[in-house]
Amino acid sequence: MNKGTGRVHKSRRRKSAAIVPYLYIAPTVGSALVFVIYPFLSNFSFSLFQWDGFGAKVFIGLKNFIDLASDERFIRAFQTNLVYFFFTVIVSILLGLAISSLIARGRLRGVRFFQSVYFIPQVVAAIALGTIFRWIYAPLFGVINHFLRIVGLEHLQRPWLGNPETATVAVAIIGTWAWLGFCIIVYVAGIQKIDENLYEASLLDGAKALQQFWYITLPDLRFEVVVTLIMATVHSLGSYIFAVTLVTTGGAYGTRPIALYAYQAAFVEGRVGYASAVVIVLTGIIFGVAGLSMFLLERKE
Amino acid sequence: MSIKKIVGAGSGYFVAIFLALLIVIPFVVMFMGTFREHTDIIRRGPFALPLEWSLENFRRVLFQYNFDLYYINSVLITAPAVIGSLIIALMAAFAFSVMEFPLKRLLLLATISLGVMVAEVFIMIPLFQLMNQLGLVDNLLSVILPSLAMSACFSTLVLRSFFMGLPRELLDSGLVDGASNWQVLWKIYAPIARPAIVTCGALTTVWTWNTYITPLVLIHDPAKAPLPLGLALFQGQYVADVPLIMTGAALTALPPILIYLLFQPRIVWGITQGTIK
Amino acid sequence: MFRWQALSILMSCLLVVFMMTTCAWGSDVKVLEIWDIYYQPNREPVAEAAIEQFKERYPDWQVKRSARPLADMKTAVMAALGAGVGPDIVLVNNGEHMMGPMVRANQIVNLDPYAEQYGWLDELFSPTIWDRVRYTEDGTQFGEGLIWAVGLDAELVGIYYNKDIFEELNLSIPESVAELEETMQLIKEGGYAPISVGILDDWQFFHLYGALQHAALAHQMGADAAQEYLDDVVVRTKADRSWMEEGNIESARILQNWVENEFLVDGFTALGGDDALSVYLAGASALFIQGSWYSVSIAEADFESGFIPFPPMEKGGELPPQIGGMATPIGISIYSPHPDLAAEYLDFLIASDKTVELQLELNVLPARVPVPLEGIPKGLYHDILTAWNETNRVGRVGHFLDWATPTMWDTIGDAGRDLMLLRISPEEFVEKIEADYRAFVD
Repeated sequence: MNKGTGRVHKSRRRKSAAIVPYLYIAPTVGSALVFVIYPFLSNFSFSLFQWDGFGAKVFIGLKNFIDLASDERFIRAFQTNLVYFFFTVIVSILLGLAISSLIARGRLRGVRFFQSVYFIPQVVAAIALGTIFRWIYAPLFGVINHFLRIVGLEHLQRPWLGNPETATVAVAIIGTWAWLGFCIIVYVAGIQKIDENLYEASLLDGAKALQQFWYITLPDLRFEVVVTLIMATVHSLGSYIFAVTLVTTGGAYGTRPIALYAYQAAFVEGRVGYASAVVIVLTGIIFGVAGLSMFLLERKE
Repeated sequence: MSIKKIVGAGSGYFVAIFLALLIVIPFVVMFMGTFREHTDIIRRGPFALPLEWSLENFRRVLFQYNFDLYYINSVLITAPAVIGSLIIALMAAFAFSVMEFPLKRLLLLATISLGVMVAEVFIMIPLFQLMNQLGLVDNLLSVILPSLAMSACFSTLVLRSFFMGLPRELLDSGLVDGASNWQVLWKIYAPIARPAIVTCGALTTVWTWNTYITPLVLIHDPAKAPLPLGLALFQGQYVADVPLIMTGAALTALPPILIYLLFQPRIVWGITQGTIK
Repeated sequence: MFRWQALSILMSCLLVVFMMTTCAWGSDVKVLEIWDIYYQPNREPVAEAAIEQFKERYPDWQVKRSARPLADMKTAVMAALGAGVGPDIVLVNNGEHMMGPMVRANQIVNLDPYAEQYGWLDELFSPTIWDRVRYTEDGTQFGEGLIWAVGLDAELVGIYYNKDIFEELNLSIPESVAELEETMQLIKEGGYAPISVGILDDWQFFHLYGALQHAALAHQMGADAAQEYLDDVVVRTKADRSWMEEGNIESARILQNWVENEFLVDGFTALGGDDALSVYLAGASALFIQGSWYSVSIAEADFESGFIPFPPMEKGGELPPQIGGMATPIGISIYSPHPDLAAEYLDFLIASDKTVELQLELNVLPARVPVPLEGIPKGLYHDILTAWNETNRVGRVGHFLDWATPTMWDTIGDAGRDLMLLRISPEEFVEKIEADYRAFVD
């Protein structure tokens, strides 16, 4: 073969090879850059301005963030969100661990069936879930109050979404309801991968069930726990809780989470710069929880 | 010992069934509610059986309260976003798994992984500004494009990890046969990846179908609202009729549940395995 | 190098999408473009009839109209005008929501010349209502100065009452708040809930408290002075006024009294506005203190309802200001190439005979007052029109309290729920409102 043409061919080929990968990834990377990453980063620049979203921007540095620290409505939303985080994330994970070790070690038949049922809340729009629960919690014709009347516990009836004592927890429990099943699915899958011999061996050593759970099950599930932790955290602070509170209470009685406050500030009160600062704090919390749990996981390994 | 095991299994079943009931009851209550009348619920309570099994509420909600339009809009948003995202994600996943190029790791981490992590809430404010500048407010494209981008990022990650698990010889033998990268992708890799594609498709369909905040911010014409936004609008229009609202909720919830039941093993696999990788 | 090529390919793709979507913007000649919010079934026909009249007058003109809900249309309008384009007729929501920024940015046309030309001030609304579409020319003071917008029809908050229950319990129409309380006691003893209300939605509380507050202020300072005061604290947000007035506190006290006496429907703290309507429609409560916008639903109930304005504190007192006013108004964009024609459309839309005729058919309160009552059968709608005429005759129209400041909706909503749960005293309730007000005006 002619040496000269070979080199030409080779160099042309390298040239085209060099651009080809970028053409393959361009649509995905490009659309992510334009419609996700760029808007995401814009929050940071917006947050430095006093801006109604339409008129002139006034640069005010970090004032929005300083104001946040003394904004009662923000602090209240933050506290409320802690409750949502606790019920959606912590309660789901702890209960999930307990229940899944009970189910998985028992080697139940019909795991498939339970799996498919437990996953259903994950595929239904949060708006629809909130709509159903609004009726469940409703005062006069609500499901829970009616149930209490039937079983003779009338004194426990109350307007669940209509007072500060119960409203936030009532909304938060929707989060547990939606996430517990998911945690169990993930943990059961994880436990069933654990070598049964480990348990047998520990039995010979005289380990109790609790010790088995603590020394065998839990360490082997740490990866699954972190995954559910991150996913549930995103939901307890993000779009999911936003839609659920909006449709159940509209944020009344101190049920408004941070995300809904950001929406209120941006699109109702026209304080776009300030709302962007709220979103950044929200982002920081989520990425902080995710980063911290990943860090702990890697250090363990 | 064996008695203990039976008791253990028994309590396991008890807990599992109790939990399954807790999860299912709200949906059962919803579906029963769709056949009732509001005053009947107030008079006879939420647990009474419907007086008649009539689909009248479905008819009213669909045709009188515009849910037929919301359905069409949801399809118009979901179909292009999911199909488009699968195509471009296959390309990107292929490049990220078998090709070598500068900045590969950075691009993967800074765009694709970030694209998966950023939720709708984080971008709702700037997205409005961006779409406003592009003249896309109140255009279905304003919902399609971000959904497409997010779905593509997710599918890229799942498909990439699938492709990484394939033997390298698959690519090399294809190339030796004189096929181009492009042909190898569509003729060899894509068919093999069908299970992963189905998983991605089902999951992104469910997510796109359920998206609420982006349309809330960007779609202002009720005639262009997708189902979740339509359901929220429906409840703010002086309608306080529980059965009608439950019918709306059922209509919104049904398609994803059906998709889920159809592709159930693949979806649960995708969630428990795919995202973990 | 190649990365840039790839990037430029991407960018050009995006550009094409962008061009495709923006091309639709090109403006045609001889088109009147309207962006309003009158999409409801009782407003749509009025807008359509006005377009018909306009086309009859100008056969070679086209009219393009798009109607959407308030919040949505607001973003669309602000975005378009901010970019220096826009239709001829735009939504101009009152106060700092939209009107103030729009006047300051010189984006809308002053309507005073048209108001004079078409005689709007004489035939539409009573003068106090017009203050709500006024802004000083520099856009700094709401409630005074020039007219910038006008609303299609009117709204009025009053008391709906279930005639069946009133007959069954042999009750008479209350003519004072004291009589109202006696009536509620009798209703309660008769086994019904007196008032249906649902404060999970903030605005339900505003209307209930507002109605009572207007009456208490009228009692404290005289009806006309109360009107002046309300204009100052809600519309003009004058710094020298304060919410710490006895009437504001007294009305909060009365409300707590009603809660303690169980005059409000069971579970009212967890009911939304529409839930409260359905409770009233189910015949479970005798009274519903709400706006005329509910009249169509209420007329469809299987019992007959009446409607009265909210009474004065004491029998024989002057009619207190009644919460109400014009529907969310619209105005003319500065970017309209033909504002005179746009104004003529507004006149067809709001003041024509055809409009009043249609509005009476559709059970809407016409802006043109007094409304002719001949031909209207006695009943709920007749009651509402009578109250509307009376309100305009005395010229006292109260306000939606959330207008006062951008955060007032949130503030009164939250403080109101605390008040109704008896967690804060009436004084503390008003102090919370005052704190919000001071933070805004000072």
